[in-house]
Amino acid sequence: MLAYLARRLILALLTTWAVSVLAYVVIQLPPGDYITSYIAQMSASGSFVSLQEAETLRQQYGLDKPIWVQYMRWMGMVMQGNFGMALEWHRPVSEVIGDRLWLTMAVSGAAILLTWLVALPIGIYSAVRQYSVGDYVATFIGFIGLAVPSFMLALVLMYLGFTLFDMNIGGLFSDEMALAPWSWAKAWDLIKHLPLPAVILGLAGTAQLIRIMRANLLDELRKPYVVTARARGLSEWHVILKYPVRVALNPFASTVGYLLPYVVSGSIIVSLVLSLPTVGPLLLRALVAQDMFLAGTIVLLLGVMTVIGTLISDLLLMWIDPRIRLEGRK
Amino acid sequence: MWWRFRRHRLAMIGTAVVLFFYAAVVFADFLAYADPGASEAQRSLLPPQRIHLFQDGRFAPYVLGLTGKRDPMTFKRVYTPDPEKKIPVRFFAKGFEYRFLGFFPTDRHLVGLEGVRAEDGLFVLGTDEQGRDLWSRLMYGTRTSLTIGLLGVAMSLVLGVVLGGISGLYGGVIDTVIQRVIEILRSIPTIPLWMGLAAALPNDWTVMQVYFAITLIISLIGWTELARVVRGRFLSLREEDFVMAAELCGSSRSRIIVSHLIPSFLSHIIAATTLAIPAMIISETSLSFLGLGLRPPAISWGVLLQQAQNIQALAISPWLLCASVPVIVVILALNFMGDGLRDAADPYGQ
Amino acid sequence: MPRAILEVRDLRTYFFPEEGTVRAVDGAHFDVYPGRTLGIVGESGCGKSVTARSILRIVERPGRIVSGSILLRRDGNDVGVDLATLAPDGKEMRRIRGGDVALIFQEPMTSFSPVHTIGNQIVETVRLHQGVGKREARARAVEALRLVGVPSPERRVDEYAFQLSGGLRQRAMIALALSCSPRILIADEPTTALDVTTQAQILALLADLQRREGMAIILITHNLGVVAEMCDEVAVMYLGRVVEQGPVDTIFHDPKHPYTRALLRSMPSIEARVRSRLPVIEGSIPHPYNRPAGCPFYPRCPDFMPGRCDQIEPPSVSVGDGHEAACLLYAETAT
Repeated sequence: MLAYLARRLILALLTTWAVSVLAYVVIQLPPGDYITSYIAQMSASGSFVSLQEAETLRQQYGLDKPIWVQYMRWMGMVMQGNFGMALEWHRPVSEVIGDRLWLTMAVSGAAILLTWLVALPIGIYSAVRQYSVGDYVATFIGFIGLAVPSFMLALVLMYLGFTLFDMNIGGLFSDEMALAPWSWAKAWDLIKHLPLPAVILGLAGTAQLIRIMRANLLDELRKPYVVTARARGLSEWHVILKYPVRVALNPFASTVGYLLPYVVSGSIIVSLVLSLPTVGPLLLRALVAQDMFLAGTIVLLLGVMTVIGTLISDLLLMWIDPRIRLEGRK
Repeated sequence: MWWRFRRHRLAMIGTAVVLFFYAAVVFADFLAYADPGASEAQRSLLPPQRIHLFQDGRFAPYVLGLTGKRDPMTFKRVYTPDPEKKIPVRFFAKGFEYRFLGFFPTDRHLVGLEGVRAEDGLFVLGTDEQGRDLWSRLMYGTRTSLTIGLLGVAMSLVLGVVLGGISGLYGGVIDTVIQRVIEILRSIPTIPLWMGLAAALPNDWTVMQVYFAITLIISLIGWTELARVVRGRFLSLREEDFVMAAELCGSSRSRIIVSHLIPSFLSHIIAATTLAIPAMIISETSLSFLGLGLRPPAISWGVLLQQAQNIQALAISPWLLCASVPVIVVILALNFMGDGLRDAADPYGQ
Repeated sequence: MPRAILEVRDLRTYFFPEEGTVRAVDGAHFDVYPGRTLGIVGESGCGKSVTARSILRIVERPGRIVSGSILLRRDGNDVGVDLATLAPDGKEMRRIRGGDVALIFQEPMTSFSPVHTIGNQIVETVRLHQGVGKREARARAVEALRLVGVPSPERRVDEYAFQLSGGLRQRAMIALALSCSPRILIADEPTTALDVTTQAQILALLADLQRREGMAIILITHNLGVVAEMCDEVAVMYLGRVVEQGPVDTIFHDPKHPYTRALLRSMPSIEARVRSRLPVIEGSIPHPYNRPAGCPFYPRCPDFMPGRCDQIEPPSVSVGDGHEAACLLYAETAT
């Protein structure tokens, strides 16, 4: 068990490092550097920066050093919580991002929670009552989740909500709460608004998980230990829930690890359509405006949060499957 | 393997649909009847027209011409269908010029109106904000989106086969390293990264350059899946009992590879590749929808959907969403086709 | 002879998949006596396992019992309960299943849940059937393991199936089945997956347990050697039908049905001439959708009587004391 934990931890650290490198690549991608954008900004507002001044500034910021040195400096800054300045906003990046990161994780988390809560029972039911009406309905939902990209679903739902119900289904807060400081009331408001984005985001994942659960369970249901359990006189649902479901849960739990990055990715685009105050719209604006510190930081933080989430799900898997816990003990 | 595939009815339907769409790719110019780039402000945001099929009892399709009237409230010209003006629709009509398959210049289209004024035209799916006919744009968009999908998956396949193959064949350290890389890539949300890459494309690149760059970017999204499948196939094939059996029968090494390994390998790869195309299509559509992918004057499904971003505009002109239909249909069709291929390749497992 | 504890009469279990009807059990009948072992033999696919499952009412969809009766007499009282009439998932049937009639399988590894400890599964059964608290149930589980000869049962009870060796697993499975002191133990090919030494040990264990607990055993196998060693009565099945049954000595020394004779002939014998060919039964088992009319064995029967065997289903007739055979050869001579 410890070996497993150690492995996952090392992998998490490696991944975090990889994310930081990739984030830095994103920062450095557009032609020119921080100073070039700074100069452009300055000249747009009327001031003029001479080449001499530019050079001095460059040296000051260490932009004349090789790129890996710059990377180290940036990592140093990041570790101290200093993410740089957001050019467009003239404010520190951390301020601009503010709540949005947590909201992104809230929406993603809600989507995953919903996915589990919905996909599991439906998957189980589908497998146990194969070819029933419920099974076909579940398969149909599966197809929708499969074929319709989440942002398209969001668009269609918004359109329907607007025309049929005359309501704007976007946003994570009602108007009054949006700018209010955090409180229980605001948290409750958030929870009330979460289901719809969570459903839209989670549909694709739910569809996939239903399929996996159904397939796994169908395989397990044929196995001898299920028959043995039945032969011992346990009731049918007891048999199914305690034995094959538990075994079929394993691959299920391991897919959660890959569900989180997928959902976080999807939330970026969906939040744009639904105008959610999450990191998505901010990232797009930053990229378009070439506000690279903001963009890079968002990429970094998203990656880190995802890695943490994945690690948590690995711990969950470890708890569920005794075969991992006992690994190496025999 | 083919007869097993044929038994899967959904897969057959899916394949038919996919082939139909790719036929549309080839015939895009023919199927479109209006120049997709021709904008005409007067025709902005027209709803889809009804094509009336019968005229006085005969089969003579026609559409109603439009009359412009000045709206007394906004003082803008508002165009409404005029029952007096019946404009016949012809098949194989003359329209704008193009080169079929890039070679044969012609100006024939599937349908069209002949000799009409600027405001009159055939608008099967309505027009967009710039007055461009959506059906024609959809035809061209289909061509772009589907070919990007194909090219993207081809590049992914190359990457996947190379890296997955090396991983599977050599094993050991190389395998572990590549596996870790794949795992790392799978663990991070990749859309922000691709957005970053796409946003970094210089604004002054030509449409073609952007096209290829976007293809490259989306191919980077899907290769990990393909690499895993390839590696898995290599690993399992090395151990397969039938390899040993064939060896015991005296077949030479290369004969084993050619007549046993490759067919099994190929069928799995084909299935995995087919299943990877939808991801490509969704990626390109998403990126273009955000404005980071293909940019006008290029036309793709994502570009077409970009106009639907504004919910107010969408509420008045829901036909702007028309591009979402082929997306859903093609993705479903490809999935059915891929499922069928996968089941035919290996009915017992994955 | 005491009354039979289980009487199966004309049991028919059919499966109804899309492709057609499979008559897995097509008229089985036999008796099981307390403290004695009945062996059910036959080739693979003759319906032995389905019979066992029918008794326990765990036949899977798309199969079900179509007709017949399965009379269970507990405690020797006259009025038994017909298991075929009970609801398969109902309370009474579930009480019987595992409590009065237990089943052990061929492959012990896959009979245990991979994610639960052995103790967990035994305790669960004990608590279900004997209604005792957790601690008492655990004590009984340990005792059951001890009874079957698992060393250090207090430790083993908390282990998982994959941590035990093959022989120990088989014993653990027997412990699981016996934990509630069933009247009847159905063993479905219990030794087929074991090596010869372990096989002998397990058989000895079963015999010992039978002596001690006085329970009846139904031993399902295709191994005639095991039958000769363990069983008191034998029922021979072919294509879902019991073609012959009787005391073990009679069956082995005076088989009447052509199929039984052919089976016994095809056993490798230490007394056979060196390098002589092993006699085999001609032909192969017909496809389940393609059952022959009349006697199921006639296409392969050396004593086939055309015009009769392919028209009439032979009834089971008495050919001796407690000895029955379903063959038209004896139909006339029987009373």
